Amino acid sequence: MHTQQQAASENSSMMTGRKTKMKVHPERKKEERAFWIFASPWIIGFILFTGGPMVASLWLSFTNYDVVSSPRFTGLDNFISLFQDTLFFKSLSVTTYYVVLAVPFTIVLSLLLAVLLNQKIKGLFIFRTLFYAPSIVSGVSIAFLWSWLLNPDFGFVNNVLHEWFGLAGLGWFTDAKLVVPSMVLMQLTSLGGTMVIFLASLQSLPKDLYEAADIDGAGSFRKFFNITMPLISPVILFNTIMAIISSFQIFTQAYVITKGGPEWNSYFYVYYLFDTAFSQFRMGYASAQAWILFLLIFALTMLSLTLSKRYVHYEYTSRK
Amino acid sequence: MKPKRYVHGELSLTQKAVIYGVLFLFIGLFLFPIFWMASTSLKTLGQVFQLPMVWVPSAPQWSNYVEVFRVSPFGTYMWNTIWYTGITVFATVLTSAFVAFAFARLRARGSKLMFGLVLSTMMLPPQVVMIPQYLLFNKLGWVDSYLPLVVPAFTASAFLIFLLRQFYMGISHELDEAVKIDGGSYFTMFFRVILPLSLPALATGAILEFMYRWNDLMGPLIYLNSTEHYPLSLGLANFTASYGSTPWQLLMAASIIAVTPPLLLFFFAQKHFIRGIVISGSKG
Amino acid sequence: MTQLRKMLLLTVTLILACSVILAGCGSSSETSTGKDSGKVEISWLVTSNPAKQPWYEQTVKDFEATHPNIKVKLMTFPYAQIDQKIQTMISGKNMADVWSANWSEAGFATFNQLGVLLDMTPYMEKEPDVVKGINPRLLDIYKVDGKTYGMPMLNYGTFLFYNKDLLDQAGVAYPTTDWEDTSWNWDRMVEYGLKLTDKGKQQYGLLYDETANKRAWLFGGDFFSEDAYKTGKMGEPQLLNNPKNAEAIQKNAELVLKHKISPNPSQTEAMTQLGNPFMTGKVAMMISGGWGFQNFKKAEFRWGAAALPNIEGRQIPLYVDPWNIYKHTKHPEEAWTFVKYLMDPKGAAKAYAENTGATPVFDELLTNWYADTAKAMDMKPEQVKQLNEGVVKYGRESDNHLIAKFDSILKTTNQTMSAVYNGTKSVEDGLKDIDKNLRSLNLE
Repeated sequence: MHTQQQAASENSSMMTGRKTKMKVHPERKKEERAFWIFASPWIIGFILFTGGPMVASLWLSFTNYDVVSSPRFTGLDNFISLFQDTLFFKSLSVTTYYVVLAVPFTIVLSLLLAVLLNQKIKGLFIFRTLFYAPSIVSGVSIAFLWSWLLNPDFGFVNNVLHEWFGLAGLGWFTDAKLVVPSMVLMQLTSLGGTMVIFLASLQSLPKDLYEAADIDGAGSFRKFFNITMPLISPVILFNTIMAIISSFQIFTQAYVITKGGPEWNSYFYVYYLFDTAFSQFRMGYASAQAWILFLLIFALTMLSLTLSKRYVHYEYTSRK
Repeated sequence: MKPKRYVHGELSLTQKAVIYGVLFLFIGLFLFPIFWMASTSLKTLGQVFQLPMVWVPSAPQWSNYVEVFRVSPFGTYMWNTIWYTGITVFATVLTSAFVAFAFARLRARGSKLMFGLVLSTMMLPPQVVMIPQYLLFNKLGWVDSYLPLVVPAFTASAFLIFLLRQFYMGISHELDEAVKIDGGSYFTMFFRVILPLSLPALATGAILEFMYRWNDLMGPLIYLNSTEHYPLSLGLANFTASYGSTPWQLLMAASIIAVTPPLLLFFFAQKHFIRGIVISGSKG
Repeated sequence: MTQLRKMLLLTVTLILACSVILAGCGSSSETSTGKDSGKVEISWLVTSNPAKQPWYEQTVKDFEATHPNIKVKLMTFPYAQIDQKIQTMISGKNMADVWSANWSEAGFATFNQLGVLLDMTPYMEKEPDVVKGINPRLLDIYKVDGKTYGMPMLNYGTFLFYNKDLLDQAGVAYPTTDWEDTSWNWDRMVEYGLKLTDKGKQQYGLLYDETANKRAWLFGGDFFSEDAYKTGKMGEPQLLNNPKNAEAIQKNAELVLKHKISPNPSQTEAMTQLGNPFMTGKVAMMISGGWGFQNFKKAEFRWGAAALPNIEGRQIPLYVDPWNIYKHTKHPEEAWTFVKYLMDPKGAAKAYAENTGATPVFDELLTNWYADTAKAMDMKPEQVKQLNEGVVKYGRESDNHLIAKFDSILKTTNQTMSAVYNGTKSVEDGLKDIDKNLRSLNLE
């Protein structure tokens, strides 16, 4: 991550000729002081409210804690049993499968919608509102709705397939092979947030580049891939990382609809963690699970940040 | 459409047809949840699960909406949510903008490590942080008040810091150089250059934060005990019941009331975050 | 720069103002615990239920009116999130003083194992009249090692509900309310189901909303040892030791796979939380808990209730919910006073039964309940009485309330059961699988 930041700042200093100033020591000091002042709200919050509980959960991961009696230190026991736990691996693989499908699905579709909703068409405001609407409804209600829609025996979708097309319905959430893709499909109604972020970034693109491209006779696709994509790459990176983080933590859908089934095929990582914590009262074990997931997400985030170095361009100037 | 915004040029008729086609294809799916909620909210409980599905109830039960206010202090929930959301969104967005500015524009030793920490706070599943955090606020004597929910809002959110940082890094450095040459401080740079230029990003962040706060159930659930303090999210959840006896028609009527303010807000606020064209400022 | 100062000042002022206001709010409720007037505040935790909420509120009002020294703080939380709420409260040692341990996924045994339930025996010995008029079978449920940890407040049995409209259309007679009637057996029920199933209309003859272990109970089987229910610890699973288990699961799988009169149980699970599939009007018979008596009152069709099929050695699930007191309560006396108040068959308990339609535990309240329930179904009060007495006779408390951390046990069982109901796993392999998986569960 740091290299990419460096690259960005080097890049900018070259263009603006700040290099000479950077060498001036007092200026650098002033900047450093300003950094800590501006960052202070978060740092204070981290020290007071967030950091402590995180450290506490890290410590709990080395203990046996049932919430009632005080935690008992057990060393690496939790981690050792985790690596002998078949469910742990099952839930990890199911979740990985979900992430692999859901992240591209979310990014591509919400970008597509954002691009469409960025066109000069009538009723744009209404369209945008309608597309955002389901994201406002709480996750649980949406999950209930989908479980009702896709219920194999009584659900609307299978009823339509049966009555209008004479087809046998699909076991959306009951077929071991279909359950994860069905959960990905459900993400359709939760694209709103990602879409709005893309929309905001599309809206702030400089007009002159496109005008120049128009003069060159570039088609829409070329403009999209050669101008739009590079320009919004920081936001694509943001949405991708957020999608990775949230997909790894998928929980509600499975909790409401499938209870992890059939045969553990939707028993996502955080669902298992949730059960360990809240139905088995094994907070220590759950904390160990959480920290392994943390390491995994952390590594993946760092990987995407490093990989993105080549593709993400942070500054664009309107004079080129 | 009055507001001047950038569009990739005029569209041909076929392009328009394709766009409308795709939009309408999706819209049914996207509207379905809202439509189902609205339809359910006007049914009797007996009709809710009837098959074949009753799409438009023959005798709409408008009284369900009155009933919502009769069986619960829904007005109180609404008011609690409004002030709670108002304060927290204002506080979070403002402080996050501050912090994001630091990460996007200011160089300091340890800043990369700090940014790594910011991101990492989002990576630990909240389920395991919940109890330690509860114990902390319990020690402070803040439980059953809004303090554990509101005070941390003044210390920025990792999500918004990251989001705004990405936007800030895209803003040209020319203008802050100008500020520097004029002898302005970093604060001037933030308030005169970055903040005005990033209003669309801020508005987007504010919308997202608003939706998050409006819907957040876990925070209020853990820290509040008194019904009179409940926000809408918790009030709505209290329309459910065990043993399969949830009055779905009331829950849905309440949900429709609850989603209306955010929907209106989104509709009317979008021209602000969509007005856009940050860069054009550099020419003016 | 001045602008910045102003902004900073404004922000700081806002933070301070908010903290002060909020702290005011927080502490005001704190001080209302009031040591000043000698008033004691106890808290009462209930799970959300819009239909019961008015009764909760009224009860608090009435109680405070008659007990001027005790204030009751009513806490209502949504059922779906109750386990997390209770767990945080327990971890902070500030759990509500009075609540029902079964109103959560964790259930009575889990809380008892955690040692957070108050032993009420001393209070009961002092005032034995509190439980007068309750069937001793129900009272014994929450006795562990001779100590009573909960006061039963309602009793839902398990019944076979049927859609009268659909039965009339198919021309089949309504099944019996007599639990002793041997002609109403499993095969007869299947016969009914076959007549009532109509694939073209997506109409199912029978929906059996029950877990695998309790399906085994109906055939005299049991997945767990007798000890498990007494100690709350699952111990050695008994799946393979009792041949009745295999028989039961075989017969149940046949409902789906051979006779095709039932939808796949694992598929309908999500729906049962949503509401009740019976309410769709597409299910002719449904075996389900006694809460159906209340829920189905809103149905758009006529319906009735019957006994479960007569099978040798059957055991029928009961769902008896208790009132419990938090072990570390600061005010045990007052909490007991409140529980006593809730248990008054002339007062709060009567109002509870009348307002919620839940089956009461006191004999003297049952007459009214029989009459009301019979009216809703257009049946005779004697028939409802017969139903309820039979279910208590053959009934036993549900496994999830008596075996700790049952949620995990149930989930483990269901994962394999879904494969059995799909026909992808034989009954024999399924049971072996479940046995193996249960043994590897680390429940401590």
